[in-house]
Amino acid sequence: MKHHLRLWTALFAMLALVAASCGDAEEEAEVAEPTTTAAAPEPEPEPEPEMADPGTPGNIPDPGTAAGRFDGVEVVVAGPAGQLDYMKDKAAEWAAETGATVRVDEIPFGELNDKVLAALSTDTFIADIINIGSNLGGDLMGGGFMAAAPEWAQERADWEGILPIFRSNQLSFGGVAYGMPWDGDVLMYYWRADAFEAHADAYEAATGNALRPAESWSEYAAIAKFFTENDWSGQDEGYGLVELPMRNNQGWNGFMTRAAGYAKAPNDPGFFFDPETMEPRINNPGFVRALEDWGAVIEYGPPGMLNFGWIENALSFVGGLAAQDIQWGDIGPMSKSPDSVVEGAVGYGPAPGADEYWDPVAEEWASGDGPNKAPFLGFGGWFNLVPATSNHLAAAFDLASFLGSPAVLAEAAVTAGTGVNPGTAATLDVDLWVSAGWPEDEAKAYTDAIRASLDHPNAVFDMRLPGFPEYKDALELAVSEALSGQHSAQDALDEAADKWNEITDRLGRDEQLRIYREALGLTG
Amino acid sequence: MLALSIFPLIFSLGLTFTNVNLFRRTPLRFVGLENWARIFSDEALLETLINTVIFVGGGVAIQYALGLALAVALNQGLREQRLMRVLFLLPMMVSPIAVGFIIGRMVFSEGFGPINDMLDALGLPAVAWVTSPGVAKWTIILVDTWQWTPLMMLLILVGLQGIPGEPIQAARVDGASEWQIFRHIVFPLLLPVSITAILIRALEAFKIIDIIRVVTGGGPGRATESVTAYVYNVGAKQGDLAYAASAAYVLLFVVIGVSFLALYVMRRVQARYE
Amino acid sequence: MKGRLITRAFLLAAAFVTFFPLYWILITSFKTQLDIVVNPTYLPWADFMPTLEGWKWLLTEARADVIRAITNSLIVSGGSAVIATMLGAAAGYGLTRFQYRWRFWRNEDIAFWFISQRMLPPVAIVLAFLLMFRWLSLLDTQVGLTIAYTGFAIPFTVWIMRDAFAQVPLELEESAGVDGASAAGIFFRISLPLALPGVVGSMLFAFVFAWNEYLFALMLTFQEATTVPLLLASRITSFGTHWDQLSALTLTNLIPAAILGIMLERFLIRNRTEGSLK
Repeated sequence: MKHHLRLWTALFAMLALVAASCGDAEEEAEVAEPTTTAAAPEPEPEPEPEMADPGTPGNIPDPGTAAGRFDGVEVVVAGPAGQLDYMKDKAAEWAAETGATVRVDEIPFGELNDKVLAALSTDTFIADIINIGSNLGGDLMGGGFMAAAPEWAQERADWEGILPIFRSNQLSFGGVAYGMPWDGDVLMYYWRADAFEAHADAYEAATGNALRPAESWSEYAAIAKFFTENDWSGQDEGYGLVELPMRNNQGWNGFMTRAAGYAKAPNDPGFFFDPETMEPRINNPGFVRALEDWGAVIEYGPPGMLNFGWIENALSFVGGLAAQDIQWGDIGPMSKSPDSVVEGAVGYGPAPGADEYWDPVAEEWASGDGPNKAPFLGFGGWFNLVPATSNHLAAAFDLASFLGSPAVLAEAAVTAGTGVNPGTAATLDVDLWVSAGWPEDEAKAYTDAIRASLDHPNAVFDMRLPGFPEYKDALELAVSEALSGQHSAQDALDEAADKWNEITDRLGRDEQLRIYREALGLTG
Repeated sequence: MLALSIFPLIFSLGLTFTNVNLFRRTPLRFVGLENWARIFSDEALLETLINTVIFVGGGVAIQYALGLALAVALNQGLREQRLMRVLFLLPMMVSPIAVGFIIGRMVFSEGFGPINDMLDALGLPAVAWVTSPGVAKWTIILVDTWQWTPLMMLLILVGLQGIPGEPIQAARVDGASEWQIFRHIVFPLLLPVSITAILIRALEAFKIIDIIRVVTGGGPGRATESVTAYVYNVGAKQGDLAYAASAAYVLLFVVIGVSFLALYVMRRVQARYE
Repeated sequence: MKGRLITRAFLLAAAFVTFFPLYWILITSFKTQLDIVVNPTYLPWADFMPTLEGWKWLLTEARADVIRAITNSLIVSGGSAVIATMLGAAAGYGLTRFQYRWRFWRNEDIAFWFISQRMLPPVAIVLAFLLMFRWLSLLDTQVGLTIAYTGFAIPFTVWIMRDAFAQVPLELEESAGVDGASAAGIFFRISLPLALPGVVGSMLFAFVFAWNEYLFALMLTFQEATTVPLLLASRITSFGTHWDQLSALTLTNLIPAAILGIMLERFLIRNRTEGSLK
């Protein structure tokens, strides 16, 4: 043991020495490592000639449209495994026309953001085009990692045909457009139209109310209770609902979809924070009641639902286990896939609203005409970005704008497994869906539900702030603790709000406030 | 090779005194002990440390007991033992990602997993494998045990080969029971190998992450989050690399402390036999 | 005989626990997504119709990727296992046969120092590797991953080999020395063969470590050097998990490892007569 004691002291002595001299040592390391890295970012990175200067579009010359214009160029596309398969096929068409070659690197979905961030922040080349979600996209654009989109690329992607909410919240940052379109995302409400029809009388007899698709979360809960308690699915088991509560999965989106109706007041632009003070609102009575009400309906879901992610949720619904579902637009095409038993039996609508909403200005519960709805654009959609480290900026934007062109997006939207949810004029066209084999009324119901959500004046776009992953983690933790009964909703959300304040202060309250206001379209 | 192992250590230690954040290209600044000061008020770190100690303590103890039993059972000259030795090694060769998804997420699933289904068939109540904070910890331990008991078995099996046959035969001639032989001859002789096996497994178990991230994502609440998963969340997901490195060093200190203690205790046990 | 019965019963129970999940992986590879999520199903044809979709994907669409990933995994895991075990054997032998002393550092300390390097959560050092490897142009290469994994495995192989050599009786070496064998001769002809189970155990350990490693493979490779765990994880897509493909790939990935296990198993058991006749 004596030996160990000596080692112990030696270890500590060494650590102390290193700690004491650390400043010098690290500065030397910085000299030895001249590249701009996260560990040693230079205060003012010198603009290298081939790098695009972020924020000044137009310095990438228009390559024109001549065939063979990128002979011998290799463009690398990186993104989440899965939807890249489709992109790969489309990129091959582009490559054949332009003479370029395209390499596609799949990154596991769960670690996509981590890997992209690690590579970009160390200036390691990762790809010429990155297919990424809106949550991280904001940080990447705001962090100066991305090249601004030239106007010719915007034109080819039919910029005006993209819904404004995506143009400003997804593809741009600080008023500068960087991204090329791919996906538009909003969480919606799905129900089993066939079961609703078959059990309308029984429901009315049991509850005294007519059975209709839920307009409010209280109706939604009553319907869920009814279907859980009654055998309706024709299978061994049938449940009233299926949602997305899992931590480190989609818990954030699941909760915000519900909370928006309770806490997004139509008369106030702010949702997550007070847009004047950056004080979190997530522990105000609106959010607390949302969480309490949510906790009360979890029992109407399939067993183990607290651990359900995207796939368990989607398959439970198209597998016929649940009467109602809160999900992204994918349920539409998925209900037509071979995995589905619910083809033609799905109803589509915007997410339900709350009977009363919390008015954060007057600090009281309020209500308008009917339930207060606030569709939540959770995740905010996939889109394509071109890193400033790309060696072939023109080719990258050429390909990205081709992938974001109306023709490609329209085909992608009606194909399952592409990641493309409708969010542009071309993809919300009823004729497109009819030509893909949908019955006209269903096509109309589907696109109408999406359009109604996206165009809703009270719609909430997902948070796009520096530190989003931290805010998200703190909130998902609180939600998960409350849903599993470890804390009350109020206590859990109070704790999360403290954490949010801590994060905001650490990142700089004024700067965070400025970015939040900008995202809400507030100036000054 | 030396540089390869030392540079990352120094690098990450250096990080703990900086403000490095993957998301922001702010100028590098030395913040002194700011990150270290945050450690002391970080309840999450404490909670994940406790979780980790439970995973390591519970998991490694079970794995050692099972691994020892399997190794001894497979060293008795049974006809089928050669086949079984290979087959029992298989679980550790399955990638933890697949183990997490197929076994953790599917077999232990409360709705569509076979375990609850079988319990139900036997008339037993369903178990909230992943949604109850208390049970979820044990689910993680069970999955980890399934995967890593083979490693224990392997290392102990190797150790059994080095035990000389003479004392065992002599004891047998003297009429000692198999249990007495195991207790007084085999087990003491296996102690050095056992110490190595336990230490190796414990060191890996302290860094448990893949299974947790797949099976529960650290939930419900923070019930199954390990320090390594926490460090990963803070460093890679949230980009706060400087603080993540500091938290990592806390784990390093704890592990060094625990292994010293464990080595000391085990050496004392060993000394008693010698 | 009663002892044997108990042993067999125990092994049978252990076998069930071990194989049920493997069986589950096997049948999952033949299930549709719906057969998986709606209810547990146990027997093909009896309660679900098997489909070959997962295997079809593996053998057609993904064949090139699968072959590349398995090749990379074999090279990287095999390479690092062999190198780490060789270096581990050298260091382990030294630690048991010679007393080192440098200032206040002694054998025990050195052995502990070796292993303490592996205590830091990997995410804390992965960025350092990213920088280092970029500087050395080792990103996305098999050599790079092999070097990294060798470095990770060495602490463990040193410990395993140290124990293995400690069990080799010194008298055997001494008597060989008296007979006039050189130091190298003693090591290769006497000590190493007697420590063969340790060598095999250490190789298996290092192999499995590299075979399963995920985080470093994720961060340090892009396409050319991607290993199987990455390909497995990529079945967890933006559209959820392709369980059938994941299962088929997992089983495919198990085959090389199982073959390795079968090849090495015989060396795990030391031939005792041979050892004592020497």
